Amino acid sequence: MQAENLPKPHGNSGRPHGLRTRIRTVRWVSQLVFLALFLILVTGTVCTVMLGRGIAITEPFGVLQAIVAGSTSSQSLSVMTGTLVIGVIVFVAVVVLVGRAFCAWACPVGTTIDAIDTALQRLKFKPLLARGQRNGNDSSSSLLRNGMNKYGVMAAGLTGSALVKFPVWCAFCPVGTLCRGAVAGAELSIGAEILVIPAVGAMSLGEKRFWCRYLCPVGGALTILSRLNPFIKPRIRQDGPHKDCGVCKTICPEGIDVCSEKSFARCTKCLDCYAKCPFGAVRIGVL
Amino acid sequence: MRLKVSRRQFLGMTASFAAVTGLIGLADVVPNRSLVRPPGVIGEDRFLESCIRCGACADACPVRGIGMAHLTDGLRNVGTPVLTGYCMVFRGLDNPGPAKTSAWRNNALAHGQQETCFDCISVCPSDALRPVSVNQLRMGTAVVKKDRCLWYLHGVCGAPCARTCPFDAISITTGPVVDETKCVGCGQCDYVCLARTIGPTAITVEPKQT
Repeated sequence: MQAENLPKPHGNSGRPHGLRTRIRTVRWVSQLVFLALFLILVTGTVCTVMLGRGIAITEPFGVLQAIVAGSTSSQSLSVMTGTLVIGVIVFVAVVVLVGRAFCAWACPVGTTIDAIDTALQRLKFKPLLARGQRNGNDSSSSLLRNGMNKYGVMAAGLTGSALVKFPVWCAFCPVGTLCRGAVAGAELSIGAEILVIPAVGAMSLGEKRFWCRYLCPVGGALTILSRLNPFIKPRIRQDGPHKDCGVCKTICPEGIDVCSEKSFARCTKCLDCYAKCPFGAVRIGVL
Repeated sequence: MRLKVSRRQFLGMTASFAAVTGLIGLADVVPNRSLVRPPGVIGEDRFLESCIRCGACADACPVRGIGMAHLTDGLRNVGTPVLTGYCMVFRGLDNPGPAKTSAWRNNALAHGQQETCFDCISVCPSDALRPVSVNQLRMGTAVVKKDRCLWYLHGVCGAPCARTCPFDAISITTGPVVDETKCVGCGQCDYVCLARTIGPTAITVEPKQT
């Protein structure tokens, strides 16, 4: 790294002001509030949030699997199609407004993985796959670390559901597993729960947020829809000093090269690039 | 909007697809056990197809009677609801017992109605739990374990099971006997069984035969 060429963090331009240094704290608070909401306070889980009696918002990928799994009766199909339509409408509305912000600010599994990543960082553990690499990670050229893999998982979830005739992804989805563990209380320690969450957590040994970045099909669904989202995108200041230092790409939980990215469909709005750019060159274009 | 997929990305995507599909192929490796289901399950196969394993029913149950099936119950069952506690069936029968049931019965006689609970059915988003009438209701069947039942063993028991059952499905002859045509499998007898005070229960709900 050409360290001597880099200015000190938050050097001359873009001096850190209060909000910028506290973004991570604000995000932790949001993540913990949503964790409490989904796991304890609200009736339902992430998969199905109940708003009063009989009004449910259901995660569309689950319902889609149930439909593919082949409930032949038309009555079931009409109930499920209704649920699917409501779910899709709500999802599209939320995604158009805030993109993939769910992943960074609300998802209980994202929060768990972030906690693991932070703990590893405190222990000075350098994720295995990030070792020996300099300017960020070129995830586009790797078989394993590949943003397209989540679509493979997604397609397998749907095909598998049709093959074995039950919504098979739902049974092993980390989000569902975490929520069901909380619903079932003390039984958290038995069965799939002890396998799924540690497995997803262990992926963080390879790279931070490995699961969210390459494999999570829910994140994949959000990424597809996120192309419709025009708001809250990182922008590069054209005026101030700015070098192609690659810091944004390294710190971004999705590995986005903020300086050259155009679409930002993968962006989870964590605002880390805004908070940590050594040149203060990233601003957030709200509109 | 243009989607560029490199050859490696495509290979990775195909590999993930194959890997996850392969895992899914293991769906029947662990034997899938029959389980006692919450109300509204009509046809186990249809139920497994449409249940999206979201846990909303368990979260909605006012008496926390529904738990989630685990890996040991078979891969098809993972995350599906199981009646682990009891189902109160009628509102007012939470924390059941002989006194509760007789008070509820008198109240029902006076007001001429018995309001059912079935909150689990009303929250189910995918029609896996379907509206049922009490007559159709069958979650399982209670079975008396004679080697543990205090009545059969020692003849000392006030038979709280029989006096608690809202359906009068348990009669006392030489000991508690379950009338399988009346029993819906709510598990309230299990909840009040006196054998629980000294060890395992002597009456359990077994899954219905499909």
